[in-house]
Amino acid sequence: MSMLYDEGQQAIATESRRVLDARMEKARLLRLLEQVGEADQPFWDTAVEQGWTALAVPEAFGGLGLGLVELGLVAQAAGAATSGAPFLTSGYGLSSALLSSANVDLQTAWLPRLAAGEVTAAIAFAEGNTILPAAPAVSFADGKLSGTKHAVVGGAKAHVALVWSSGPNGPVLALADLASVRRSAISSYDNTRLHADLIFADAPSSIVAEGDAALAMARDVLARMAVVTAHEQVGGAEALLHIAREYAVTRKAFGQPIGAFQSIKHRIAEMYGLVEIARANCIHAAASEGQPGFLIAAADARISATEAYDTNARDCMQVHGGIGVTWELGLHLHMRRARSLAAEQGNLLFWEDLLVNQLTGEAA
Amino acid sequence: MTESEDIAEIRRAVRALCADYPGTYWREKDRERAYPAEFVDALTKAGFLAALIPEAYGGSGLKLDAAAVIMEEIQAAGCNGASAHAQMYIMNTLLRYGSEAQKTAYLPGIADGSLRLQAFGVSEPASGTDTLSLRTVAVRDGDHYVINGQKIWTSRAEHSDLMLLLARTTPRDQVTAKTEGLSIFLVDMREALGKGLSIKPIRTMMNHSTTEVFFDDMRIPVTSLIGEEGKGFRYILSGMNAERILIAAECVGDAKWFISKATDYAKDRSVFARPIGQNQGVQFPIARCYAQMRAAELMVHHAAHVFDQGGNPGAEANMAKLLASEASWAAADMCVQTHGGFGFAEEYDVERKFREARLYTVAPISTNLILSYLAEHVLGLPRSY
Repeated sequence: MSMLYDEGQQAIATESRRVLDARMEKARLLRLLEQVGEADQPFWDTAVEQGWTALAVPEAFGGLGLGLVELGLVAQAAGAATSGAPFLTSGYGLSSALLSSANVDLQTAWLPRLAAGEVTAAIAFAEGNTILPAAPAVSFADGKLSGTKHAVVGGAKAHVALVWSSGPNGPVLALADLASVRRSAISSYDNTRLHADLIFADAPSSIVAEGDAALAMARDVLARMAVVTAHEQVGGAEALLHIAREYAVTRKAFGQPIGAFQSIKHRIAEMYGLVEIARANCIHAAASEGQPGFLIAAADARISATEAYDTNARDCMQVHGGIGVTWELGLHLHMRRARSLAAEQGNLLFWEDLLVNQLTGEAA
Repeated sequence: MTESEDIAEIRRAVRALCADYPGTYWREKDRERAYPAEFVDALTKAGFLAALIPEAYGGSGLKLDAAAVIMEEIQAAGCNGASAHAQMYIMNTLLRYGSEAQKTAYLPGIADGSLRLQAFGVSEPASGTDTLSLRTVAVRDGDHYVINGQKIWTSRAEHSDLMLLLARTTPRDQVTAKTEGLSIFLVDMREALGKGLSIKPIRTMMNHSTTEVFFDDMRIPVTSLIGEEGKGFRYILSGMNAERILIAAECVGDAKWFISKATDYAKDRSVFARPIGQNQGVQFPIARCYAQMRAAELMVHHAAHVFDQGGNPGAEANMAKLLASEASWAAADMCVQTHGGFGFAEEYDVERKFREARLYTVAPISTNLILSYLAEHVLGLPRSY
């Protein structure tokens, strides 16, 4: 299938890029790198003001009633700017879960606040290296969660968390208010991802889904967030392509622009190829939302976007030579982000396994 | 690293011999899928394939490192040592574990080329790398063993007099250790052919003379057994290390041929009024292949030295084969790319060498199993299969 962005979607892409170009400051992001548990508040204020938090929430709950295509375009702009807040993705993850739960009370309680940006969410599924453990150590009983989720993205600041846990009758996806939950922020190479351990001790929580329905919902949430993240990765990879190209045509060595050397110019051409492949996969995945091939399309997008961002982060630095590794130039913001996004919500191995299983119809 | 004069002399001698077998010779053999008997005879007469046989049995008693240089030079000259390399290393099992009577009976003939020992029957249709699950059985019957079963990928069986054969003598469920129960036999195929032994060639994309071998109540004398019954698996392991090191050396030779061929072409061929080798897009891949080849070459010699000093070169032999086969395949791919359309034309020999070079990331052991070995035995990670 093919699709073209309509006028409204193009406007979202242009406008979000314009706003972020004007408001994101490298100096601020560099400062935030050295602060543990601090979010990029100006970015979040912008996201709320521009309505990005409301994009994919239905109008009945105070949202704009748009979908993954539009959110993807915003995520792409955010990725290009190495925006310092993970909550666009996780908020979308939680609102998708609530919408598919058919639990009207939870929907009414949380969706309008998520849309308004008053509430931020964290998605706490993984334990250790396992993205979606068959028997999670965090347990749910009598409306309470117990146990620890380590290194949860956004965990240091989120108001609520969607938690993958073990209940008396199989897995439970539980929604926990984090106000009274103890958390311990983790110092990482990319601090605005706000990693923190969440330590649940009989934390009051609500059931969003149970049993097989919980597993299906968790997979769907991961796939949806993967598509948003893939867009963010494409945005980052594309920004790096432009930065590398700009440097290659201005920087001179041996009396000519370094872009005249094939080893540089071919490398940049390959960066371009990676971006375009990943972008095509992202568009396809976003447009497949809610359709039968969505999981495969999401995996395709995630895998190719991870490769594009990782490779371009490396190659852009290589094109720059020594200046590329300086703190001030900030290419390392992208290199850090490429790595943290590659690991969030399922790493490459997770998505490759999932893709193989989907394609073969059985465990490989 | 400077080489000894002896090694340099071996290189010169092999190169001189190979000069008599230019691309036209190999192209004709390839086209007709014919065994390069003249080349193999010349190599044998010159004593190169007897490099590893002790002087007492008529060989030249060289170290493995010198033997590796012989194989490398054959490939670097554009020839195909796969037609004969097994004559060099299969006898290792006989030499190490055979009785004095067996060694006296066979080694001098193998050394002077009157006896060809070039076939090694290990792989079976249902057991490739998983050697211990092989199904060919040998049952003792008086003064004979009766063999039944089937082997596959037995190279050069049609051009060899003798075959080293691995078969099960004790059923798998009756052995105390899982590596026991296999035995190794030296089969005289001249006597057995048509009497329980049949050979069926397998056509491949290169001229490699590989076959399927069938045993149907084939009777061989008990004197064919090498060493003790049931210990065959252990006996072949050290031979496998030698095989991997020699084949790795062939891959280094192949890589050198591809690099030299590509370099010459890149200097000579002119596009946009300058040699194509002036483009970074052309010269950098050649330079990268050169670096990759040199690194592999160091590991090959390192592995050979460990072997020659009597150590266990399991890790080094495996790494040498992995690195060298990847280096030769990368160089093959680069060489075709450098030549453009001419890379596909027979008269340049590039396409023939390209087809021949593809084998070695698969055989005699696949890259995956080497990685498994390193992960499990060197790094102590859990066994994955």
